[in-house]
Amino acid sequence: MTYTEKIFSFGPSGALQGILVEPRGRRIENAPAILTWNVGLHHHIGPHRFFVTLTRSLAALGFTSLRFDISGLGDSEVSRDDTRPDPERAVADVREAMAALTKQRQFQTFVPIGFCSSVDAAHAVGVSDPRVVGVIHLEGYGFRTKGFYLRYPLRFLNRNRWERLVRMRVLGDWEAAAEASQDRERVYVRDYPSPKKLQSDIAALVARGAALLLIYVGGDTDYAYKEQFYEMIDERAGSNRVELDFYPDADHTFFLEEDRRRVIQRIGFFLRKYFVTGDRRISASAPPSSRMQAEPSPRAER
Amino acid sequence: MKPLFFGEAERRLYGVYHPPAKSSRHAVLLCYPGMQEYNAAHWMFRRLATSLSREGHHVLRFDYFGTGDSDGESDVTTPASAVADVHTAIRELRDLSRAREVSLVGLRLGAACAALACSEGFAARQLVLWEPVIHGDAYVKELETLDERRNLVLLHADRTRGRRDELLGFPFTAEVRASTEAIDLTAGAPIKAKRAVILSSDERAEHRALRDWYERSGVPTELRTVQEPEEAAGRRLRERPMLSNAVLLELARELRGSLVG
Repeated sequence: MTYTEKIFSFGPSGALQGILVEPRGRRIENAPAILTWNVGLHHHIGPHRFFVTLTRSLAALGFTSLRFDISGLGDSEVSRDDTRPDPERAVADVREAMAALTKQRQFQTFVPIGFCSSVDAAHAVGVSDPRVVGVIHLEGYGFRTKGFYLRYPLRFLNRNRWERLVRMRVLGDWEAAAEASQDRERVYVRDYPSPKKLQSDIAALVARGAALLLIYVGGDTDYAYKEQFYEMIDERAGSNRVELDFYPDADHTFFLEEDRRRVIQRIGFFLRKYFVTGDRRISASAPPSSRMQAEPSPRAER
Repeated sequence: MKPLFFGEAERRLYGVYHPPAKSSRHAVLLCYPGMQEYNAAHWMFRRLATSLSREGHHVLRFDYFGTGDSDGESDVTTPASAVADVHTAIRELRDLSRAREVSLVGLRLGAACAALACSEGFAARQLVLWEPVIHGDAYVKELETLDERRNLVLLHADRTRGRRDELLGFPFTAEVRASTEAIDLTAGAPIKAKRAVILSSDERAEHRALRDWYERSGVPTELRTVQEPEEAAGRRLRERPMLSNAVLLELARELRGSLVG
């Protein structure tokens, strides 16, 4: 195995629980620690065990990760006296994770990975804390733009969409219809920052030297083309420290293993690009896993 | 709540031990369901473990090899490997608790694994089978139906049509498929348990067949229907039993007898 995993208890009274995943070989010198936590009500392993595969793959590249549960979710406890709203508590818990990693493992910098709802805390901590040197958003903030509406009719060229429509409406597959409806409710009701606020936040992060990786998917989301993010924040020029990917065939939780592998590979390349430089090389004793060696698939870069 | 790794060095299993609120000689091992049902059940299992430990049971919930935080890739978990993990977890729970007797509670595929562990030599105080997978071939067919619908909803129909190596977001190899389909709790070696209970939201013929088989094997077995008010009113709740308060209360009530017995 290219990694070791340990129980990592931290926070007030050790109530927060996570798994610290470290490279079995030498870690990359001065590399940031990677942080992942709950996606919605999923516990810290993530949908389809996404964060387990991701953090183990990153350990093979030389990165240390902590996958953990926010207070009151998964295996972490919450005090009955803690009356803070959930978003506030999540941000505080991410900071606790950073403090614990500094104290116990001497990490000075961090890269939080937000996935769907956990993007909120990743973004808040990233914007406000200079120890955050990179932020990754998986299915983060998406606003419909003029370009989105212009491309909207293209959806109807998708054979899968017609097949679904026929099954649900013509053949009366009401279970599929109910599932689709539940998905829409579950996924897209979120409290987003305004596009203007998002623009200033991203500008502040980039000005500070942080790197960002933003990954969006197609399907039934509010995202339709790769550059939509720049249109959203009215920043057409982009930035050389903001990397943007769009996987039109993937879904919101990366249901198919092929899609998860592609995202994990992409995250690995992003982290190596920005945080493995000069003499900060991975040692020969911790070779990259076979899943991480190929370049990201071109179909992801539409 | 005490999270821990246990088992062999190259095959470590992750578990969470819930010590009892008062001195006790009875322990309960919780066996998670498989695949996509694991995530849906996690919160319910934590609630159940907390509730049982407050009642005075030692409780351990754990991840099979290749699932959750345990070692192993997601394509290596077979029913046989999961049953071997149940035996490992029982030993760990005995070490942690020094309990005289251990009861097993399993949900869906976890119930099948718990039952198979009891037909492979382990003698349970109580065996509680919660919506058990009784026939593996029917279970796989059910998962395939759900998978097909999920891929339709997520617009993956053309990428997944005819594919058999992945199911509901998890790898599903030919070996895993064959060994899952081979599950038949109504055949094979009889179980060892002082008592068995089958909990379900609707009583079916396969539940009665399982009860009859256990009874013929000399294990007193009760079949019990537990429904949420919504289910009783006729609404179908496929995965809601995993969030069911009624089942939680029923399980706590059922295992209370083991504290004094």
